[in-house]
Amino acid sequence: MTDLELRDLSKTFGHVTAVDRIELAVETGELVALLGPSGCGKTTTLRMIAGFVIPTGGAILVQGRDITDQPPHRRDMGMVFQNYALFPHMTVYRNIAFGLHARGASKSEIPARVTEALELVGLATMVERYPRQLSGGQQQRVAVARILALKPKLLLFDEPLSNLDAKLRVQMRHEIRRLQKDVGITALFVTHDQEEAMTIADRIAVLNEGRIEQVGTPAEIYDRPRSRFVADFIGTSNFLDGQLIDGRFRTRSGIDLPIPSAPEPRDARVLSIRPERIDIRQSGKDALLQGTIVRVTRLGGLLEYGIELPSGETVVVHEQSRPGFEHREPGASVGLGWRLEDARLFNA
Amino acid sequence: MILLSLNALIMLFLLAPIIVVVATAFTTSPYPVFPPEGFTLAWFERFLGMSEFTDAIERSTLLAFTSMVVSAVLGTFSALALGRWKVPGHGAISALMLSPILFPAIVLGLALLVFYHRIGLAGSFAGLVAAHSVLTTPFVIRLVLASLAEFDPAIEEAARNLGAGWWRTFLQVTLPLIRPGVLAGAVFAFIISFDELVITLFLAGPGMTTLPIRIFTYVEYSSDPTVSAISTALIIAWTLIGVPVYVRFLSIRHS
Amino acid sequence: MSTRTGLAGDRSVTGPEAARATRRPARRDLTPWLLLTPNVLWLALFLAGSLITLAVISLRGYEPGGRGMLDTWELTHYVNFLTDPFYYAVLWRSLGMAGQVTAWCLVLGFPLALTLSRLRGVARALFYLAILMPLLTSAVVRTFGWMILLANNGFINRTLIDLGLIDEPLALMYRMSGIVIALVEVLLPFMVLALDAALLNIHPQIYEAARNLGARAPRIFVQITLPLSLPGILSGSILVFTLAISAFVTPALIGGPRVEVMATLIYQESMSLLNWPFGAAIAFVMLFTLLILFALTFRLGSRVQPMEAG
Repeated sequence: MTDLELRDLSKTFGHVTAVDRIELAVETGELVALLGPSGCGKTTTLRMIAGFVIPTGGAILVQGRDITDQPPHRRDMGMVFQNYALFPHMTVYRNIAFGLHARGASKSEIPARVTEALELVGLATMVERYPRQLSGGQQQRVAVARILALKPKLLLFDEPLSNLDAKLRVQMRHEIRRLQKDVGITALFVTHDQEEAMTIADRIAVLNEGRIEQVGTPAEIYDRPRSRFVADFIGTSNFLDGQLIDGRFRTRSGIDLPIPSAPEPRDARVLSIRPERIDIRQSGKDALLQGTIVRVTRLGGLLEYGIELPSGETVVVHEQSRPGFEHREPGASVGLGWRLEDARLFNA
Repeated sequence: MILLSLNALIMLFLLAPIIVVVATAFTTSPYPVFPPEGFTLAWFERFLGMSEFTDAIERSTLLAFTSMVVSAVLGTFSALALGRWKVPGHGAISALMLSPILFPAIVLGLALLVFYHRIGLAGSFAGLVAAHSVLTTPFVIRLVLASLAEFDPAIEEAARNLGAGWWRTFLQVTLPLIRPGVLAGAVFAFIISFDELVITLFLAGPGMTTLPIRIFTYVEYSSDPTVSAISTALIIAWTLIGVPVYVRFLSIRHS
Repeated sequence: MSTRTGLAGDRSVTGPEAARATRRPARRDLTPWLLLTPNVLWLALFLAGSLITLAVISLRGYEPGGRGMLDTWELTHYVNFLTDPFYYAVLWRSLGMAGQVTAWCLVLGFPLALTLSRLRGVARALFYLAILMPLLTSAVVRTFGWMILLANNGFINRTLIDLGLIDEPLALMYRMSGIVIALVEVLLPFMVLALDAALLNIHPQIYEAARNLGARAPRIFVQITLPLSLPGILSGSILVFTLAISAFVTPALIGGPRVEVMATLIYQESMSLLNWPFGAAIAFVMLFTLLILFALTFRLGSRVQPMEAG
């Protein structure tokens, strides 16, 4: 079932269009990440879904019902904030009970539901503590428990891990994912950290300047980016400008590159290939491009080569470092090749 | 929204007496009626022609100016000492310096009166200045401290590093940078001293009837628009002086 | 790193010698003391001196119409004030007045403070200015304005009669009700500023979280806003109460001789009747009352304090 549907959703602030007619459908039990650079509209979109921002156009549907005009306190969804937003003057117990009271749960069932929620996040012993007595990770878990106690239809995460240090962030992201899967709740996760999105999301919606550039599984987004922006934002890519001529891609510098038989889009102007998909071979007829190594950088277990083509353009290649072999020498002439289907074509 | 209309009503309540006073300053009726009848500037002319008021204005100005200078100097130095050096006990010292505001004016007035009587300052101009300065210095300290907090002490250290002695650093680096705070504090001190009534009532000698005292005694026995006119003149004066200083001080703080 | 810099007087060395050299204690910088001493001395002298003198005088006897202040030591004035029903009534009247003023300032101040704390930029600066503006005008001016409004044939009464809400004019002048109304207006800005400071401390996301959890405005106000703004409520209340109980101008002008409060009594006894000892005693009773209040609020406050809001 489609738990959440965004239809033509827009938000303008004066002259600025923060969210531009986005469409999205989220299925039950999915964790969809809203990923993009700052200012791309992902947080505004989330806040519209939660009800804190009123859309200027479009509709939001939850399980088929249009909730666009519903005030925040009536929506059946829980939001986990970046700063946890726990009530500092209430114990963990009262923090979690707050929502239950507000939604009219009966006095007798509240203790059980609070305990249930805390056990889900593994903090049953912290019931009487105050937020200031808990660590950042614990506070985050209480924030999640506070929502889970209400058994909402949707979980909304607003960059919840940005305030945590790196190690804790990785640990918490897996915990959140595990929790979400165990409970089976549909979730929307806003982040600017692509590693985070790639690790935990079932699908990723990549946003740029208020528009959704692409929605897909992490593998789809990575291997088959549908726009230059996505190819550039996710991981790294090489870009060569040019145009399609006679079933081949002619770069601006005049080199003809072979492409798969039914190229799309027809009027492509850019060919893109990921650094790790290029392999270095002997220069010669087998190679698609020829160049000179101008730079070698060690990136942990990876070697990064900067290769200058005769036209002056640079191509970046990633190679696994091999035991016993330092690296190729700068100045060496090399050939570059790749599987045709690994190259992507874009309009601009 | 309910909150908006509630706010409007409360704001009206807050500004009501000021509106009334300014409005009645122009009334043609011999009593201050609100809403006023007609329009005339006669009451302004009247008070400007009454020596009891113009003399009082002079005295108040002199007193306020002197107190302003005294408290500006003392306050700035104190603020510098508290803000730049962490002297031992600076918490207690700063509490002491800001404490005069906490004392009820009526108590302070009587206390200073009996004290002055003991040490021979009763009814003197110097005694009045001293009392006013005690009241106004805390404001100068607060405002200068705020100004100090705005800029990086490293700037002063850089000046010293370049060879400037303490005095030169103070005159050419520190003072210009804290000038908004000092100015705001000075203006504040002037206005507070000028408007001060209760303590002055206790301490003023026969020749020192200030404007607030004059207005107070006048209002106790008669009620005519002359007082409205004087009050309006004061309101306009303080708004013209106080608001720009306040705005400038705030904007410098926020930039 | 070079060990010689070539600057005159520079003896930079490296190694253990340098470490030993830098362990010399720094010269004591006397500048801050030079700057502080005048003010500290003066304050200590004047404040302490005047309060001690006042305390001493409050313990002296007084013979009205006769020899005036006596050389005796007695507690008569304190006993008088606290037992004579007339003076005792003044004390309670003043406390009641200050209590009412504080309560009304809280009720009227909260809406203004809520709005102020939510505004940003130019709007906030303007709103802030509007609230501070009344403070630019002296108490005498504002009280005079109230005298005009509260008179029997003043604006308030005439409007109420015209609207048919009352038949006879309400007696507001020379009554406690009039004093309370005027004092509330005079002291309202202080309460608003104190509340605003506390409200600003509450992270806006806490409100959003509460709304997200299903709470509506009333519940949010009672369970979130009020508890978290308690520090501001306390500091604002104590400020307003202190200013109200010691207020002189407004009760003097609006209450006149009919309604006597502590401040006007002190003035009358010491300036009109020249009974300094009695005036001093009343002044100290006022100070003691405030001290008790401060202590109570401090204890309440320290129990409330460890709440960092968000």
